[in-house]
Amino acid sequence: MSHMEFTGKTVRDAIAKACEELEVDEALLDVEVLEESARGFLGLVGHRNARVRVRKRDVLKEVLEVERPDSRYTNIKPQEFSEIESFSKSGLEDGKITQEGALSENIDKSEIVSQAKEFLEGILCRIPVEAAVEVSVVNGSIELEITGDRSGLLIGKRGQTLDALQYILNKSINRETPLEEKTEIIVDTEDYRRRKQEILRDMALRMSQKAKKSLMPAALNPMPANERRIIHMILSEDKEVYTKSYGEGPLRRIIVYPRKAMPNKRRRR
Amino acid sequence: MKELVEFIAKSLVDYPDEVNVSEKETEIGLILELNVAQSDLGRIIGKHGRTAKAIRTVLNSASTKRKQKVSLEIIE
Repeated sequence: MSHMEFTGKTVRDAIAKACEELEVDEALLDVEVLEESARGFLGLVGHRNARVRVRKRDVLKEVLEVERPDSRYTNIKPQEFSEIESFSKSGLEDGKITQEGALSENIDKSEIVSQAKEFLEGILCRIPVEAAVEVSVVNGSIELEITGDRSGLLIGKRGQTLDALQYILNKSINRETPLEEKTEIIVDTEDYRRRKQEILRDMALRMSQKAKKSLMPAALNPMPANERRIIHMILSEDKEVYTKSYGEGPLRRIIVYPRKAMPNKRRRR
Repeated sequence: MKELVEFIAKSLVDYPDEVNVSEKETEIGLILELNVAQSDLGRIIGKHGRTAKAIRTVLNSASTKRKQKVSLEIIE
Protein backbone atom coordinates (compact mmCIF):
# COMPACT_ATOMS: atom_id res chain seq x y z
CA MET A 1 0.00 0.00 0.00
CA SER A 2 1.63 3.21 -1.12
CA HIS A 3 1.98 6.48 0.69
CA MET A 4 0.81 9.67 -0.89
CA GLU A 5 1.60 13.23 0.02
CA PHE A 6 -0.79 16.12 0.04
CA THR A 7 -0.31 19.78 0.72
CA GLY A 8 -2.68 22.44 1.90
CA LYS A 9 -2.82 25.76 3.64
CA THR A 10 -3.26 23.99 6.93
CA VAL A 11 -2.87 20.43 8.07
CA ARG A 12 -6.67 20.07 8.08
CA ASP A 13 -6.86 21.29 4.49
CA ALA A 14 -4.25 18.79 3.40
CA ILE A 15 -6.09 15.91 5.05
CA ALA A 16 -9.38 16.99 3.55
CA LYS A 17 -7.75 17.04 0.14
CA ALA A 18 -6.38 13.58 0.68
CA CYS A 19 -9.80 12.24 1.63
CA GLU A 20 -11.32 13.76 -1.45
CA GLU A 21 -8.69 12.47 -3.81
CA LEU A 22 -8.61 8.94 -2.41
CA GLU A 23 -12.36 8.89 -1.94
CA VAL A 24 -12.18 7.54 1.59
CA ASP A 25 -13.19 8.63 5.02
CA GLU A 26 -10.55 10.21 7.19
CA ALA A 27 -10.92 7.34 9.62
CA LEU A 28 -9.51 5.03 6.99
CA LEU A 29 -6.34 7.03 6.53
CA ASP A 30 -3.09 6.88 8.40
CA VAL A 31 -1.87 10.45 8.53
CA GLU A 32 1.65 11.58 9.18
CA VAL A 33 2.30 15.29 9.34
CA LEU A 34 5.50 16.07 7.48
CA GLU A 35 5.44 19.82 7.83
CA GLU A 36 3.16 22.16 9.71
CA SER A 37 1.99 25.19 7.84
CA ALA A 38 3.67 28.49 8.57
CA ARG A 39 2.11 31.84 7.96
CA GLY A 40 5.37 33.50 7.12
CA PHE A 41 6.06 37.16 7.42
CA LEU A 42 3.15 39.38 6.37
CA GLY A 43 1.93 36.47 4.29
CA LEU A 44 4.74 37.10 1.85
CA VAL A 45 8.03 35.76 3.01
CA GLY A 46 8.53 32.33 4.50
CA HIS A 47 5.01 31.15 3.78
CA ARG A 48 4.86 27.42 3.85
CA ASN A 49 2.10 24.97 3.10
CA ALA A 50 1.35 22.10 5.40
CA ARG A 51 2.40 18.74 4.09
CA VAL A 52 1.00 15.44 5.18
CA ARG A 53 1.72 11.94 4.13
CA VAL A 54 -1.25 9.61 4.10
CA ARG A 55 -1.68 5.95 3.60
CA LYS A 56 -4.93 4.18 3.01
CA ARG A 57 -5.46 1.76 5.83
CA ASP A 58 -6.08 -1.75 4.70
CA VAL A 59 -8.60 -3.09 7.15
CA LEU A 60 -8.15 -6.66 5.99
CA LYS A 61 -4.43 -6.50 6.54
CA GLU A 62 -4.76 -4.85 9.88
CA VAL A 63 -6.88 -7.64 11.16
CA LEU A 64 -4.52 -10.26 9.86
CA GLU A 65 -1.27 -8.47 10.47
CA VAL A 66 0.99 -6.95 7.92
CA GLU A 67 2.22 -9.35 5.31
CA ARG A 68 5.61 -9.42 3.76
CA PRO A 69 7.17 -11.70 1.22
CA ASP A 70 7.60 -14.59 3.56
CA SER A 71 10.18 -17.16 2.69
CA ARG A 72 8.33 -19.73 4.76
CA TYR A 73 5.49 -19.65 2.31
CA THR A 74 7.22 -18.89 -0.91
CA ASN A 75 10.15 -21.30 -0.96
CA ILE A 76 7.96 -24.14 -0.07
CA LYS A 77 7.73 -27.44 -1.83
CA PRO A 78 4.23 -28.27 -3.02
CA GLN A 79 3.80 -31.32 -0.84
CA GLU A 80 4.47 -29.29 2.27
CA PHE A 81 1.49 -27.11 1.69
CA SER A 82 -1.10 -29.41 3.11
CA GLU A 83 0.88 -29.39 6.29
CA ILE A 84 1.07 -25.64 6.56
CA GLU A 85 -2.53 -25.16 5.66
CA SER A 86 -3.83 -27.59 8.18
CA PHE A 87 -1.36 -26.35 10.72
CA SER A 88 -2.44 -22.77 10.53
CA LYS A 89 -6.05 -23.76 10.29
CA SER A 90 -6.72 -25.98 13.20
CA GLY A 91 -3.59 -25.81 15.23
CA LEU A 92 -1.24 -28.49 16.39
CA GLU A 93 -3.42 -31.50 16.15
CA ASP A 94 -3.80 -31.55 12.40
CA GLY A 95 -0.28 -30.30 11.87
CA LYS A 96 1.10 -33.59 13.01
CA ILE A 97 0.57 -35.11 9.59
CA THR A 98 4.24 -35.61 9.02
CA GLN A 99 6.52 -37.10 6.44
CA GLU A 100 6.51 -40.36 8.35
CA GLY A 101 2.83 -40.59 7.53
CA ALA A 102 3.65 -40.42 3.85
CA LEU A 103 6.36 -43.05 4.16
CA SER A 104 4.37 -45.58 6.11
CA GLU A 105 1.78 -45.58 3.36
CA ASN A 106 3.73 -48.23 1.54
CA ILE A 107 2.16 -50.74 3.87
CA ASP A 108 -0.21 -53.11 2.20
CA LYS A 109 -3.61 -51.51 1.89
CA SER A 110 -5.64 -54.23 0.31
CA GLU A 111 -7.84 -54.62 3.37
CA ILE A 112 -8.61 -50.93 3.64
CA VAL A 113 -9.18 -50.76 -0.10
CA SER A 114 -11.84 -53.45 -0.11
CA GLN A 115 -13.38 -52.00 3.04
CA ALA A 116 -13.63 -48.55 1.44
CA LYS A 117 -15.07 -49.97 -1.77
CA GLU A 118 -17.70 -51.99 0.06
CA PHE A 119 -18.66 -49.04 2.21
CA LEU A 120 -19.08 -46.68 -0.72
CA GLU A 121 -21.10 -49.29 -2.61
CA GLY A 122 -23.20 -49.73 0.51
CA ILE A 123 -24.03 -46.04 0.58
CA LEU A 124 -24.73 -45.88 -3.15
CA CYS A 125 -27.16 -48.79 -3.18
CA ARG A 126 -29.06 -47.24 -0.30
CA ILE A 127 -29.49 -43.87 -2.02
CA PRO A 128 -30.27 -45.71 -4.42
CA VAL A 129 -27.99 -45.23 -7.39
CA GLU A 130 -27.03 -47.88 -9.83
CA ALA A 131 -23.32 -47.41 -10.08
CA ALA A 132 -20.12 -49.35 -9.85
CA VAL A 133 -17.00 -48.40 -7.93
CA GLU A 134 -13.54 -48.72 -9.41
CA VAL A 135 -10.55 -48.57 -7.11
CA SER A 136 -6.99 -47.54 -7.68
CA VAL A 137 -4.18 -46.71 -5.28
CA VAL A 138 -2.18 -43.63 -6.20
CA ASN A 139 0.71 -42.40 -4.07
CA GLY A 140 -0.66 -44.17 -1.03
CA SER A 141 -4.12 -42.69 -1.30
CA ILE A 142 -7.12 -44.67 -2.39
CA GLU A 143 -9.05 -43.36 -5.34
CA LEU A 144 -12.62 -44.52 -5.70
CA GLU A 145 -14.18 -43.77 -9.04
CA ILE A 146 -17.94 -44.07 -9.25
CA THR A 147 -19.04 -45.10 -12.71
CA GLY A 148 -22.47 -45.66 -14.14
CA ASP A 149 -24.40 -42.69 -12.83
CA ARG A 150 -24.02 -39.73 -15.13
CA SER A 151 -26.79 -37.55 -13.77
CA GLY A 152 -24.60 -35.35 -11.60
CA LEU A 153 -26.64 -36.39 -8.59
CA LEU A 154 -23.54 -37.62 -6.82
CA ILE A 155 -21.60 -34.47 -7.55
CA GLY A 156 -24.12 -32.04 -6.17
CA LYS A 157 -23.93 -28.29 -6.10
CA ARG A 158 -20.29 -27.30 -6.42
CA GLY A 159 -19.29 -30.86 -5.73
CA GLN A 160 -20.72 -30.88 -2.25
CA THR A 161 -22.28 -34.34 -2.41
CA LEU A 162 -19.05 -35.78 -3.72
CA ASP A 163 -17.11 -34.02 -0.97
CA ALA A 164 -19.59 -35.25 1.65
CA LEU A 165 -19.19 -38.83 0.47
CA GLN A 166 -15.44 -38.44 0.52
CA TYR A 167 -15.52 -36.92 3.99
CA ILE A 168 -17.71 -39.66 5.45
CA LEU A 169 -15.54 -42.32 3.87
CA ASN A 170 -12.37 -40.80 5.27
CA LYS A 171 -13.97 -40.53 8.70
CA SER A 172 -15.22 -44.06 8.84
CA ILE A 173 -12.17 -45.74 7.33
CA ASN A 174 -9.73 -43.80 9.48
CA ARG A 175 -11.86 -43.93 12.58
CA GLU A 176 -9.47 -45.96 14.69
CA THR A 177 -6.19 -45.32 12.95
CA PRO A 178 -3.72 -43.00 14.61
CA LEU A 179 -3.10 -39.69 12.92
CA GLU A 180 0.15 -40.68 11.21
CA GLU A 181 -1.32 -43.73 9.53
CA LYS A 182 -4.43 -42.23 8.07
CA THR A 183 -5.20 -43.16 4.51
CA GLU A 184 -6.43 -40.48 2.20
CA ILE A 185 -9.50 -41.49 0.26
CA ILE A 186 -10.52 -39.67 -2.86
CA VAL A 187 -13.99 -40.11 -4.30
CA ASP A 188 -14.56 -39.09 -7.87
CA THR A 189 -17.19 -39.47 -10.55
CA GLU A 190 -17.66 -38.22 -14.08
CA ASP A 191 -14.08 -36.96 -13.97
CA TYR A 192 -15.24 -34.12 -11.71
CA ARG A 193 -12.03 -33.72 -9.71
CA ARG A 194 -9.86 -33.33 -12.78
CA ARG A 195 -12.29 -30.87 -14.36
CA LYS A 196 -12.40 -28.93 -11.13
CA GLN A 197 -8.63 -28.82 -11.00
CA GLU A 198 -8.51 -27.38 -14.49
CA ILE A 199 -11.00 -24.69 -13.55
CA LEU A 200 -8.92 -23.84 -10.50
CA ARG A 201 -5.76 -23.71 -12.60
CA ASP A 202 -7.38 -21.29 -15.02
CA MET A 203 -8.55 -19.12 -12.18
CA ALA A 204 -5.15 -19.18 -10.46
CA LEU A 205 -3.34 -18.17 -13.63
CA ARG A 206 -5.86 -15.44 -14.35
CA MET A 207 -5.46 -13.96 -10.89
CA SER A 208 -1.67 -14.07 -11.07
CA GLN A 209 -1.84 -12.24 -14.40
CA LYS A 210 -4.05 -9.66 -12.81
CA ALA A 211 -1.69 -9.21 -9.87
CA LYS A 212 1.34 -8.91 -12.11
CA LYS A 213 -0.33 -6.46 -14.42
CA SER A 214 -1.81 -4.20 -11.78
CA LEU A 215 1.05 -4.63 -9.31
CA MET A 216 -1.63 -4.94 -6.69
CA PRO A 217 -2.65 -7.97 -4.64
CA ALA A 218 -5.48 -9.94 -6.20
CA ALA A 219 -7.97 -11.74 -3.97
CA LEU A 220 -9.65 -14.99 -4.89
CA ASN A 221 -13.05 -16.05 -3.67
CA PRO A 222 -13.15 -18.00 -0.42
CA MET A 223 -12.75 -21.70 -1.01
CA PRO A 224 -12.16 -24.88 0.98
CA ALA A 225 -8.72 -26.03 2.05
CA ASN A 226 -8.21 -28.64 -0.64
CA GLU A 227 -8.94 -26.15 -3.40
CA ARG A 228 -6.70 -23.53 -1.85
CA ARG A 229 -3.96 -26.09 -1.69
CA ILE A 230 -4.19 -26.65 -5.43
CA ILE A 231 -3.97 -22.92 -6.09
CA HIS A 232 -0.97 -22.53 -3.77
CA MET A 233 0.74 -25.37 -5.57
CA ILE A 234 0.08 -24.02 -9.03
CA LEU A 235 1.24 -20.53 -8.19
CA SER A 236 4.30 -21.67 -6.28
CA GLU A 237 5.80 -22.35 -9.71
CA ASP A 238 5.39 -18.73 -10.69
CA LYS A 239 8.35 -16.77 -9.40
CA GLU A 240 6.73 -13.40 -9.98
CA VAL A 241 3.97 -13.84 -7.44
CA TYR A 242 3.48 -15.35 -4.02
CA THR A 243 0.29 -16.47 -2.33
CA LYS A 244 -1.09 -16.34 1.17
CA SER A 245 -4.39 -17.26 2.78
CA TYR A 246 -6.39 -15.00 5.00
CA GLY A 247 -9.61 -15.35 6.94
CA GLU A 248 -11.12 -18.02 9.09
CA GLY A 249 -13.08 -21.13 8.30
CA PRO A 250 -15.35 -20.93 5.28
CA LEU A 251 -14.25 -17.36 4.62
CA ARG A 252 -10.59 -18.24 4.20
CA ARG A 253 -9.32 -17.02 0.87
CA ILE A 254 -6.12 -16.74 -1.10
CA ILE A 255 -4.55 -13.46 -1.98
CA VAL A 256 -2.01 -13.38 -4.80
CA TYR A 257 0.74 -10.84 -4.33
CA PRO A 258 3.02 -9.63 -7.09
CA ARG A 259 6.66 -9.65 -6.03
CA LYS A 260 7.24 -6.40 -7.80
CA ALA A 261 5.55 -3.85 -5.60
CA MET A 262 3.64 -0.84 -6.76
CA PRO A 263 6.13 2.01 -7.18
CA ASN A 264 5.38 4.78 -4.75
CA LYS A 265 4.11 7.68 -6.69
CA ARG A 266 5.45 10.62 -4.78
CA ARG A 267 8.03 9.25 -2.48
CA ARG A 268 10.34 11.86 -1.09
CA ARG A 269 13.75 11.59 -2.72
CA MET B 1 -33.62 -43.47 3.55
CA LYS B 2 -33.69 -44.87 7.02
CA GLU B 3 -31.29 -47.62 6.00
CA LEU B 4 -28.96 -45.07 4.44
CA VAL B 5 -28.64 -43.03 7.61
CA GLU B 6 -28.35 -46.14 9.71
CA PHE B 7 -25.64 -47.52 7.47
CA ILE B 8 -23.57 -44.34 7.53
CA ALA B 9 -24.04 -43.76 11.25
CA LYS B 10 -23.05 -47.29 12.16
CA SER B 11 -19.83 -46.94 10.23
CA LEU B 12 -18.87 -43.81 12.14
CA VAL B 13 -19.55 -44.70 15.74
CA ASP B 14 -17.91 -46.82 18.42
CA TYR B 15 -21.16 -48.53 19.43
CA PRO B 16 -23.01 -49.44 16.23
CA ASP B 17 -25.54 -51.50 18.19
CA GLU B 18 -26.85 -48.37 19.84
CA VAL B 19 -27.58 -46.64 16.55
CA ASN B 20 -31.29 -46.31 16.07
CA VAL B 21 -33.21 -44.39 13.43
CA SER B 22 -36.92 -43.76 13.61
CA GLU B 23 -39.10 -42.29 10.89
CA LYS B 24 -41.76 -39.68 11.39
CA GLU B 25 -44.12 -38.69 8.61
CA THR B 26 -45.15 -35.05 8.83
CA GLU B 27 -46.67 -32.49 6.50
CA ILE B 28 -43.22 -31.08 5.74
CA GLY B 29 -41.94 -34.48 4.75
CA LEU B 30 -40.20 -37.36 6.33
CA ILE B 31 -38.22 -36.70 9.49
CA LEU B 32 -35.54 -39.14 10.48
CA GLU B 33 -34.54 -39.17 14.10
CA LEU B 34 -31.09 -40.52 14.74
CA ASN B 35 -30.26 -41.87 18.17
CA VAL B 36 -26.73 -42.84 19.10
CA ALA B 37 -24.84 -43.56 22.29
CA GLN B 38 -24.08 -40.43 24.26
CA SER B 39 -20.34 -40.88 23.79
CA ASP B 40 -20.78 -41.19 20.02
CA LEU B 41 -22.61 -37.91 19.55
CA GLY B 42 -19.36 -36.14 18.82
CA ARG B 43 -18.49 -38.58 16.08
CA ILE B 44 -21.85 -38.08 14.40
CA ILE B 45 -21.78 -34.32 14.65
CA GLY B 46 -18.08 -33.78 14.01
CA LYS B 47 -15.95 -30.68 14.25
CA HIS B 48 -18.18 -27.67 13.61
CA GLY B 49 -20.96 -30.05 12.65
CA ARG B 50 -19.07 -31.12 9.57
CA THR B 51 -19.93 -34.80 9.79
CA ALA B 52 -23.58 -34.04 10.45
CA LYS B 53 -23.58 -31.74 7.45
CA ALA B 54 -21.99 -34.40 5.26
CA ILE B 55 -24.61 -36.97 6.30
CA ARG B 56 -27.39 -34.51 5.52
CA THR B 57 -25.84 -33.74 2.14
CA VAL B 58 -25.75 -37.40 1.19
CA LEU B 59 -29.27 -37.80 2.51
CA ASN B 60 -30.37 -34.90 0.34
CA SER B 61 -29.10 -36.62 -2.76
CA ALA B 62 -31.21 -39.63 -1.80
CA SER B 63 -34.14 -37.33 -1.22
CA THR B 64 -33.69 -35.81 -4.66
CA LYS B 65 -33.48 -39.24 -6.23
CA ARG B 66 -36.63 -40.48 -4.54
CA LYS B 67 -38.44 -37.15 -4.88
CA GLN B 68 -39.36 -37.19 -1.23
CA LYS B 69 -38.55 -34.50 1.31
CA VAL B 70 -36.42 -35.70 4.17
CA SER B 71 -34.75 -34.05 7.10
CA LEU B 72 -32.43 -35.51 9.66
CA GLU B 73 -32.56 -34.81 13.34
CA ILE B 74 -29.85 -35.96 15.65
CA ILE B 75 -31.35 -36.67 19.05
CA GLU B 76 -29.20 -35.73 22.01
